[in-house]
Amino acid sequence: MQKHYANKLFYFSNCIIASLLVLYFLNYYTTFSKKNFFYVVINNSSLNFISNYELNFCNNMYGPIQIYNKNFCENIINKFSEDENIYSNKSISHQIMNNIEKRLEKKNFRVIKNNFAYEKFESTPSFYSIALNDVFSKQFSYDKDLRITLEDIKNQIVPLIDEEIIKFFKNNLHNNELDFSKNNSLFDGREVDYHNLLTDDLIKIVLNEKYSSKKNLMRKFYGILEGLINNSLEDLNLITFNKSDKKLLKEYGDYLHNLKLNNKNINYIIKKIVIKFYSVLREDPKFFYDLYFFNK
Amino acid sequence: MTYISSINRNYFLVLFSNFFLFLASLLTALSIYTSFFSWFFFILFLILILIKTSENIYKENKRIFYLILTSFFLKFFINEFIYVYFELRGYPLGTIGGSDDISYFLKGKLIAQLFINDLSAQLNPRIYHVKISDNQNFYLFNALINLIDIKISLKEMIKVGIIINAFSAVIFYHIYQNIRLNKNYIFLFVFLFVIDLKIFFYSNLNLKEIYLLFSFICCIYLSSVIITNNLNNKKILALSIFGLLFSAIIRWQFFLIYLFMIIVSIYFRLILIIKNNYILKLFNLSIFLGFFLLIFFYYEDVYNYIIIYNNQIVGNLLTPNENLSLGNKIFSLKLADNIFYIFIYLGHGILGIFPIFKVSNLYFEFQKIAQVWFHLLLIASTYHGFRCLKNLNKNNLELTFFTITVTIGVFIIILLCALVTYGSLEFSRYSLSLNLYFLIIIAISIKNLNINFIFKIIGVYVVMNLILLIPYYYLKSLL
Repeated sequence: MQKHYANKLFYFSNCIIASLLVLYFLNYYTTFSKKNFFYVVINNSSLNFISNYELNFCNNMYGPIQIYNKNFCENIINKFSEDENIYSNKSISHQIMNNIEKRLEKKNFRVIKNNFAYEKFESTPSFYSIALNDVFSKQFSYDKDLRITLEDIKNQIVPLIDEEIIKFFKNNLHNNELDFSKNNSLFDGREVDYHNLLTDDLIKIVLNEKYSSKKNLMRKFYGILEGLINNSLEDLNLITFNKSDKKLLKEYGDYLHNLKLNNKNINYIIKKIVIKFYSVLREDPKFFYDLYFFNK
Repeated sequence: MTYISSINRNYFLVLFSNFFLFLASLLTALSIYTSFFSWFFFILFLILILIKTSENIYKENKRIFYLILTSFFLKFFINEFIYVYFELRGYPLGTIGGSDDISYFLKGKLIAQLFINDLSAQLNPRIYHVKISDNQNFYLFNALINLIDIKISLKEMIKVGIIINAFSAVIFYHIYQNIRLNKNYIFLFVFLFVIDLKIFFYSNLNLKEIYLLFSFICCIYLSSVIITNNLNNKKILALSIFGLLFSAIIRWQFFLIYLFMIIVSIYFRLILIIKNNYILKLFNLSIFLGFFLLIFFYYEDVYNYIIIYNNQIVGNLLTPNENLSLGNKIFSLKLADNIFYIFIYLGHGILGIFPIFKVSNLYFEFQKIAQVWFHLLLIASTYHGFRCLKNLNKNNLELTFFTITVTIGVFIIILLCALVTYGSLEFSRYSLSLNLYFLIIIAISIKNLNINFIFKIIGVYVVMNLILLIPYYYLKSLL
């Protein structure tokens, strides 16, 4: 009798455990479709660069890249106090994000007021951004309808964010042309063509998303440029280029390094590259934000 | 219980078979590769490994086998219930832990999601350049679990910790077997480990501590195997070596302490237990001492390093809000004034005189319960500790050296914890291995146990609290 009772109890407890496990896995595989989130991540440092480009060009003046005269730069640098770190200022990102938030809420996308976006993208140790305050992020949620695809939702959000960033550029940035028209006669037509090719290729490589993200574009750009001029691109071991790009970079590196060794006017070419890069960045708002559709 | 086992032998024989495990591992690998019910297969695979490793226990003591499995499933479902309940009450991700376990989980998830969506270039390049001593490895471990199934939530992540805790219980049984504890008491001590409130509380959070506790148990098992030369189970040996190496990924510093414990146990075995050539012993001893002297001279500046760490790093991280309580006064003591303040921190942490922080949440409330359990174990082990000291001289050498090895290891760990945490709130979290030590001390010294002993412990605890609380309230009424 006791044996029979123990046996039954054993099977009964096993059944309970098995049914609870089934319930657990059922719950696990059925509840996730309801949770739909996306994150808007604004590239704070790139935005700060674009809106304070004169100061940023001047800050790089003492390296190999010199855009302005020293006198001009001294005046600009004196305007800013030493403590103020221009890259970490989040006021512009806040302003743009607030506008995006208002417009998204009108389209039934809700802001989630928790710390998850900050925890994921911004807080240290950050696996996403390189320096603290490089990015500014927010989490939004949406109701998923079976009839609406993810592409439809993206099509609703992307133009809206683009518009906000373009609006900011229009209102806040002046079309200051950078002074680089002098010394144009230093090179002949052939060389100018080669410089144009060099500029285009270099920008294409820097903006290639396979090599690195859109965050910190300026820092990366300066890094590659400095590596080319000093012929020390191997030091940038964090980025691995593919074979054809490596070949191109080596060729351009040799060219720029030779110009530097022969004391030719290298600043002129560098100015040209930097200003082209700047204008390419300013034309396309997609360099200033990222949109991620992650579940949870 | 014997009735059950005799009838259902076939039932477990299937689960114990190597072929079944091989099939399960194959299915798990396939499901992860194809993302087809990968979490289901992964959890079942871990449960199967748990059953397989406890095969020996099933043959020797079925009650303990059922205890470990039942406790594991209970913890599994209690954890599910707790997380669903707190999620409904508005706690982020259902955890009461707060910042640490959420950030570990979310960062791991971000890494995994970017990898899965082929956006790994978006990640910060330094992810590939993580130092081995870095805390970041635990984020990567979280990412690895997330890669199994990207849909998992925090509560699923914790299930892995709960399974690891069940593995700890299995190894714990083998430690007692190695030190030849009376078979009547083994069930009691495995039960005490399984229901340990402090360990249970922390195993419900996504923290490194529970994994480090597992590594610590693995280390104790290995040193018990070395000292007693009593290798029962090769599966457990493999598991414990894995556990020891796992601590190198989670926390390199702890791995070094564990390695040190193992070296100490090897030397105890070689020099003091095996009675052989004296010249060889002296030679070994000189190498051992030379090793220590080398470390001492290499890290000459340990003293200054401790003081600089104390002054700068911890002082900036932890700032209590008021400066009125006794806890805050101890908290503000500087090691630069006196290096022996470290022992005040230690006592402070063990007694739980915490500084006053403005933030008070449910986590602290649960921590108080865990602290009460810790104190009860402390009283029980001190009661038995004196008897343990007496027994050590009389009993065999192996047990004595095993106790000394574990004591050295635990002492280094708690001193480090005291240094890092100022003996504040985090001390109870980091010193999880102390609970295990108390259980081992009680188990070594126990001779006969009766119900009066439990009442005695609770009585001592209440009296000690009254001794502390009466003057406190009296002094407070005077102010």
